[in-house]
Amino acid sequence: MDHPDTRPIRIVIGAMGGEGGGLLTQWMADLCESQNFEVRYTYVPGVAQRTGATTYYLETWPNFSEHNTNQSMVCALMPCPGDVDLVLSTEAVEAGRALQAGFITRSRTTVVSSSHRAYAVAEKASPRDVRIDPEYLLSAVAAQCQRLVHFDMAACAAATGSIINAVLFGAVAGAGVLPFSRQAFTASIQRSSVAVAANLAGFDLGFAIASGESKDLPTTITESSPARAQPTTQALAAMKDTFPPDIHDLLRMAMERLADYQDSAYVQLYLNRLQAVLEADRANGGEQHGYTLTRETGRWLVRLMAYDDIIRVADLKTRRQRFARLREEVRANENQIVRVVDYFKPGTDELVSILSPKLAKRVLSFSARTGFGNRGFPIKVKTDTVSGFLALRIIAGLRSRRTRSYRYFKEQAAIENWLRQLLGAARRDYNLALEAAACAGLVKGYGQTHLHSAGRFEAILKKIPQIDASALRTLRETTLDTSA
Amino acid sequence: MAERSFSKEVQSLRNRDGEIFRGEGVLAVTKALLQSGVSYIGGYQGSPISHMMDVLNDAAEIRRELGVHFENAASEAAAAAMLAASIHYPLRGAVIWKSTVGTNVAADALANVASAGVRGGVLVIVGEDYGEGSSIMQERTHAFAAKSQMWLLDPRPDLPAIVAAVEHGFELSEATNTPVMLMLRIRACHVYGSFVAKDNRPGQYNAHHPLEQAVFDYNKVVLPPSSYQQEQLKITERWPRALRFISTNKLNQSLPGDYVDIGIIVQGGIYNALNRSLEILSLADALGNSKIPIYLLTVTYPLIPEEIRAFCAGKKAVLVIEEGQPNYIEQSIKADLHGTGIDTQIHGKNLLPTAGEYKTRILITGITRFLNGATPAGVSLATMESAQQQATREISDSQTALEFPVPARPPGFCIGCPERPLFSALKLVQQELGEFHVSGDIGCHLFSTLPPFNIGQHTVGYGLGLASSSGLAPNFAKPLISIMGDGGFWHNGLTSGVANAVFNGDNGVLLIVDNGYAAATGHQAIPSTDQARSGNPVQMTIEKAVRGVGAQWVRTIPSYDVKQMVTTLTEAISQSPPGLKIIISQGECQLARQRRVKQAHQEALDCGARALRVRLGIDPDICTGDRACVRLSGCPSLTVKDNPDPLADGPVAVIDNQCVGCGNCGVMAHQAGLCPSFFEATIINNPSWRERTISNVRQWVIGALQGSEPRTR
Repeated sequence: MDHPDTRPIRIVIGAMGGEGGGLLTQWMADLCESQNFEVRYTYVPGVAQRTGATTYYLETWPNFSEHNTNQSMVCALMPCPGDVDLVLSTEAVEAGRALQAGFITRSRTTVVSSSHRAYAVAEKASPRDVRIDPEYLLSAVAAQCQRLVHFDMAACAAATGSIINAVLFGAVAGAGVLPFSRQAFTASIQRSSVAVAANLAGFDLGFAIASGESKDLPTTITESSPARAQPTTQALAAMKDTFPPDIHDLLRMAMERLADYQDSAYVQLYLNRLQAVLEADRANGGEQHGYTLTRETGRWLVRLMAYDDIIRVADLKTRRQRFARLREEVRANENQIVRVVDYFKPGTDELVSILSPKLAKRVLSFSARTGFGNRGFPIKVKTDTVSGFLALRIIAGLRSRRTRSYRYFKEQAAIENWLRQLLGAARRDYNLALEAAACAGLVKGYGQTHLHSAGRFEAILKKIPQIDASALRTLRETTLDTSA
Repeated sequence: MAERSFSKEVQSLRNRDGEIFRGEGVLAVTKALLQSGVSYIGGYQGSPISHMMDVLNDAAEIRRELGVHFENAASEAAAAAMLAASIHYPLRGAVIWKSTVGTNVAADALANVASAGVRGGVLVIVGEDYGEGSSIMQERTHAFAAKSQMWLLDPRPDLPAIVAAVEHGFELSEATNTPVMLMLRIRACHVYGSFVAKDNRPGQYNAHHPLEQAVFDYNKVVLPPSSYQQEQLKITERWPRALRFISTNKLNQSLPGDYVDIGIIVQGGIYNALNRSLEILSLADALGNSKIPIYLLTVTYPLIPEEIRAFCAGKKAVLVIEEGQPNYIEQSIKADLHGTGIDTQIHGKNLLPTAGEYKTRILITGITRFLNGATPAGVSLATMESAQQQATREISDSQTALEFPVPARPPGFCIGCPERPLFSALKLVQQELGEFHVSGDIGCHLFSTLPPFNIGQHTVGYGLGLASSSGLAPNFAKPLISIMGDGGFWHNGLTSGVANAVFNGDNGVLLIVDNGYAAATGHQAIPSTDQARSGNPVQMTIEKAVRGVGAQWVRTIPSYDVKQMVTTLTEAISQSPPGLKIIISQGECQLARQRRVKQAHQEALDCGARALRVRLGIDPDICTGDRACVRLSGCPSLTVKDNPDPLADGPVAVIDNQCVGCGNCGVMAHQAGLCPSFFEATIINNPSWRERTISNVRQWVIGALQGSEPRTR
């Protein structure tokens, strides 16, 4: 970035509530003033100061006092498209917002941005995955600016116990976009006397990464839970013999999941079902499709077979590994005690799902007549106590009865129905079969949510014989959107 | 204590003559008031001048020393009424509020004071909430000034100019016996800069030197025949004196330029944006040296005909840059030049958009069109245009680089906000009983109209939620639900809403959101603010107040108790005896609460005492990713992350570490029958030895039981 001293440097700072955009602006102003740059800044705090995006705008004139004028600089108070030298952004979409506002342009702008995402309400609330990919955003920014410095500053902030503004300030220093020494930057943090130690730690990490001193990027990836149970070696060998190599990894994970969920017979049931799909796949030109149908069906089938019933939930809630994960998530150290309360609200249908089909139907018809339990049974369980843990453990122990339960019969019937429609579709059109497979994604949630979604799943399957692939896709997507 | 503390910054209000004052706009205005010798200040908070109220509160000690009385008025009307002090007596005073909404509320007192006229200088400081970042209807304060014959200052958004406008404002007010309005746009209120300070001075009379003699002058009472005389006085006396004062003291500036056959007339408040536009067009530098002559209006009402004629004379064309509508200034200039023999073409809204904020790119387009039409001597339009085409291409490449607009981030309820469970409860009631017409009000609670709640069909003014139901309710089959915040309640809702409904026998349900502060504007204290927190010696309660005006059916419910709220709402809606049913939803603003709680927590940790922290969490392997929880909550700390399960598709819900443990997620998991993934974790710091022992035993037993979990079969 050039610094002609015939005009002020124009700087836009895009931040969200709680990220310290105001403090960052004050650091920047203090920094520039300490180096004899003239400074003006302003901002639009908006309605509530705590959520939403806030834009700060700062202009600073290098060596202004040498100008020998009694005039003062005229700050525009708002950034002008095509006229911004430096954009600082605390999050990837905020960099995208600056781009769309025209504040980032090829011949002028340097951008320093965090590459992480904080999702907007629209992205969080949609029943479909509509999250915007930060790589897409930042590559678009990179193509329209002079220089882009970016890395995951949220992870750096978490790693240093600071907030993003300190890391971003460090990145500005480390990338050398302003003609000031590192000491000048840190002096501003010290003068502000706000959480100085933590902010300096964040600053140092941001500086190290942006300057290339360190390639050691902290990350925020969470590991998936390893399965406790493994499928038998015979079953694994049989799987490898039968299925194309491309999908072995997927199937191994699916088999682990089902072994963990139920038993080896259930794993075998899975393989048998999928083998029928593979044969249909092969018969309909699956090889040139890379056996996509088998893969996709295999992915959805394990989801449907490992359905979430109260036995499964009680099991997952009482695992040793869950206790460890939970302590880590709430950032508890060894000297702290963590008490845990789990919130459950099973409905009548969920409670009876572990009974035999005959008994379950009688309870349900009683419940339908009298309204008994139709609002569910709210329960709080103190899972960290021995009694709370035992109660859940006993429910988890009902696993051995699962294959004789009402819910099991219902789920298997639904799965068989789905596979039948899917195989029928495969004979007509490969893509239709793929769409039919994806319909399994409609099944979601617990209790009433699950009942409704299962109903929608059943309804859409009925339509498959009459429609084509693109119609089914549209129908599936609208069904998902309107389920919200 | 307000959200933002200015206790450090207010020290610079003591700056002496010649010292450099650095700070934001509202702080500079406060300093200017103290330099001008005011005896009283009043106001009502609201963006963009909320911080000025905070500054004045935090400057209590300095005010006391100077004998300046400050009133956190109950409403803008109450603040404006304070100006009566200056009608008979040589007291300088200032009032502050958000405009145009605050000016609407203050209009009665303002018009009366303007009619009676003032002896002491009076400044009405309005935060012009117009353009980007505004939270209200888009209107101009200009009309208020003109209709009451008050003078309107619109200074350049630079601290020396703003401070000078305050000082001149008082002099102008006294020279013309007229209240003067000073408008500051949003960015000007927050602009950081510097100016050379003067000593503060106490008012001629104040709490330390009170007035001794009461004055009676019927001519100052707004009743016939005085009121008729006052109107005449405005025109025959005050107006000519104003014109004289403004031109003698050169409040407006005529800035020279090379292209003498054209010119621009601009409001002071948007001069800086104009200069940047000219700079980008290579017609000015960043010090404000323009090639086009500019007539800069610090006083936008009244205009000075002689100055305008002098500026326009000899020019082919002049562009009037006037933000907002109607274009009072442009019309007035055209009318004034008519018949004077000056045939300058006056342009304005024909080249610039009629409505909306004048941002730099808009001005660039307008100025380019103006130059193309006016073709001034010595300007190479072709060079300018080709440079602009290049810039425009780059900007449009950037603006179209992404295939879709990035998602908006509208303001919403904060983490742990006590209003979230209230609207979740209302959403649950609507799921059972169908949609209702909900009358909204002004305040944080109006965020209910945004996703994911989408509750609240209209809002017509502060404290008017209930009153705005009274026309529709009798014509609507279902009962109406009205919302009112505690701020709006004390502002006027108690009388215009509750007393009005009781008096007229209206039916319906009123939900009063009692979070303890004027929260949206930054936690200013209101009459029902907890005494310990407000520092006020008195605390009035909302429940007593509504019972006092005759409300019979009143329930006060903790806002986080969704179950009780759903039951009570259902009861209020379905109960047959007619009348007003009031539910007071109580829950302290979580932001204010957290400031206190976090500090106490840290202090406990520092001295090794037992301290609890509660937060909610979600088990990712139990979450199915349907996100029903997000749609019922919208809490910023409830978000999504990549599914750690490679077999699953789509993200799972997650509660991040900003969670303050309000417990709403757990409550909603029960009330809405969400899913079993939610848990509440209580982290105990420095536990007692007894707790530690019990915990160890539990962990040992549970660990042993987990060790015997069934393995592979």
